[in-house]
Amino acid sequence: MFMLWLYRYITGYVKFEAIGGFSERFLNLCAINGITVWGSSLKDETLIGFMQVRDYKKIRKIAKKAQVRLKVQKRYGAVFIIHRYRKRTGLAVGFLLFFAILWFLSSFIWNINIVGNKNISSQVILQKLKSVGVYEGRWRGSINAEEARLSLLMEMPELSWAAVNMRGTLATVDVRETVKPPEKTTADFPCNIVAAADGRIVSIKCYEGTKEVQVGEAVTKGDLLISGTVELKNSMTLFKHAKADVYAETVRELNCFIPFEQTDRVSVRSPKKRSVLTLFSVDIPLFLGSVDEPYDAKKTVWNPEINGVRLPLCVTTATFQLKKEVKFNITQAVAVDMAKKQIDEMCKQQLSPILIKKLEQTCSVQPNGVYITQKFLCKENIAKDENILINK
Amino acid sequence: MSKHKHRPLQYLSNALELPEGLLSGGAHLELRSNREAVIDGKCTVLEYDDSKIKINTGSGIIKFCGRNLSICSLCSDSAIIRGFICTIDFTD
Repeated sequence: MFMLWLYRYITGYVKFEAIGGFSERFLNLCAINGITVWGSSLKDETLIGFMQVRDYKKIRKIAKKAQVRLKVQKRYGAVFIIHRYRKRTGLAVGFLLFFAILWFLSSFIWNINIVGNKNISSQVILQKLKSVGVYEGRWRGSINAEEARLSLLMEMPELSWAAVNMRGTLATVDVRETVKPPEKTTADFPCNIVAAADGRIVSIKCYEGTKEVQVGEAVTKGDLLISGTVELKNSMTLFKHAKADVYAETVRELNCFIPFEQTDRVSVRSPKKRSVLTLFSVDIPLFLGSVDEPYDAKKTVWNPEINGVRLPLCVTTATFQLKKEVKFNITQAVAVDMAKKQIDEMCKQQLSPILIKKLEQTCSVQPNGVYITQKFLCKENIAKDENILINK
Repeated sequence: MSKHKHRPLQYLSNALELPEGLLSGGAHLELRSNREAVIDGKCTVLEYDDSKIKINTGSGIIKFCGRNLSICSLCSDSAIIRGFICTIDFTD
C-alpha cells in the first residue's frame, strides 16, 4: 500500500470533482479507457475522486461524453513541488551539490579500525598501514585491499595474518599476531659455572657438575666455581651443563652527591593554549604566531564519536607553559636528606633481589655539597653460566 | 452464443472442481464483513449514490444497498465498494 502511495506521489495525482451530468457513465468510461479512479464519493450530484495527473489530461473527451464539468480541487505529488520551484535554480544546484559532495566525501577512507591486536599497539599498525598506502583521507578507489594486506604482512613480521576490509568510509583492519616458538633451551650445551662477582663463598648447592671451590673460600669475578667436565671411573670424560646455586658474601657500594646549589624550572606567566583543527586529515591551525621556547607542552586531543565511529575531525589543543631555570641554595640538612632519599631509591632499583646483611653509611660534607657513600654486605647467588668451547 | 463459447471451459472447471466462473471470466466477489466488497472482474457502474450502488459484472447485476456507500477504486477489471452494506441483490 505504501509503495502504491509512493508511486502515485512521485508521478503526481489530483483530487477532482465532476459536477452534474452522469457520474456513473463518467466512471464507466474512465474504467473502459484504463483510467483508475480511487477514493470516489458522491455528494449532491457531485462526484469527488482521485486520479493520476497523466490520466487527468486524457479525460476531457470522457467528461464531455458524460456531460460532467471537471474541476481540480487539490494537487498532490513531487511533480507539483518541482514545478513550483522550477525557477529557483539555486535549489536545484544545491540539491545536486549536496549529492555530489556526499558522493565525493564518501569516496575517502575516514576511519581505520584495528581489531585483533593484543601486544602490538594500534598506533604502530596505523603507522605501518600509512607506509603501505592505507591512511585516513586516502581515496578509497586507489586502495587495493589484497595488495595492502600482503604489504602489511611483509612490513610487520610480528603479524601472522591480516585483512583489510573496506565498508563505506570505514576500513577495518583485522590482524592476528605471530605466536613466537619457545626459545631453544641451553640446558643441553656443556657449560661451567663461574663467579659473577668478588666475594667469600657461604654455601654451595651443586646439582650437576664438579665442585671446584669450597665453602669459606674467597673468589674473584670470573673464577671457576663448578666445572661442567665430569671424569668417570673408566677414565672417560663427560661434558655436562653444570647447575648450582653458589651463595657468597659480597660487598657493594653506592655513592651519591647532592650539590648545595640547585636548579629548578619554574612557571613564568599564565599558560598559552594553541589549537589545531584536523578536518578530513588536513591540519588547520586555529592560532596566529608561535610560542617562544623553553616551554613544557601538554597535548589533549578531542575526537568526537557517534555510535563508536570516530568522526573525521579532531581538535588538538596544546597547552604551553613557559618555564625558566632558577638557581637556589639548600642547607646542609636538606642536602643530606635528599642524598639519603636518593640512595634509598638507588638501593631499591639496583639491590632489590639481593639479601643485605649489613650496611655502613659515611657522609662527608664538602664545600660545594654533600657526598654519601653506602657500603652493603650482601648475600647473593654469584653463579653464572659460561659455555665450554669444545673443538670437534 | 456466449453460453456455447464458455461450455468447454465450464467442463474443465467442473472436472478440476475449480470455483464457478474462475476460468470462464465470471466476477469474483469478496466481502470483508459488511464494510467492504471487492469485485474482481469486468464491471461497469449502473447506479451510484451513497445509499445504493448497482454494478454490472457481465454475468449479472449486483446491487449494494446501505449507508455511506462509495466506490473506493474503479478500474476496468476490478472495483472496491466501501461503506455500511445492508443488502446485496443479484439479478440477471
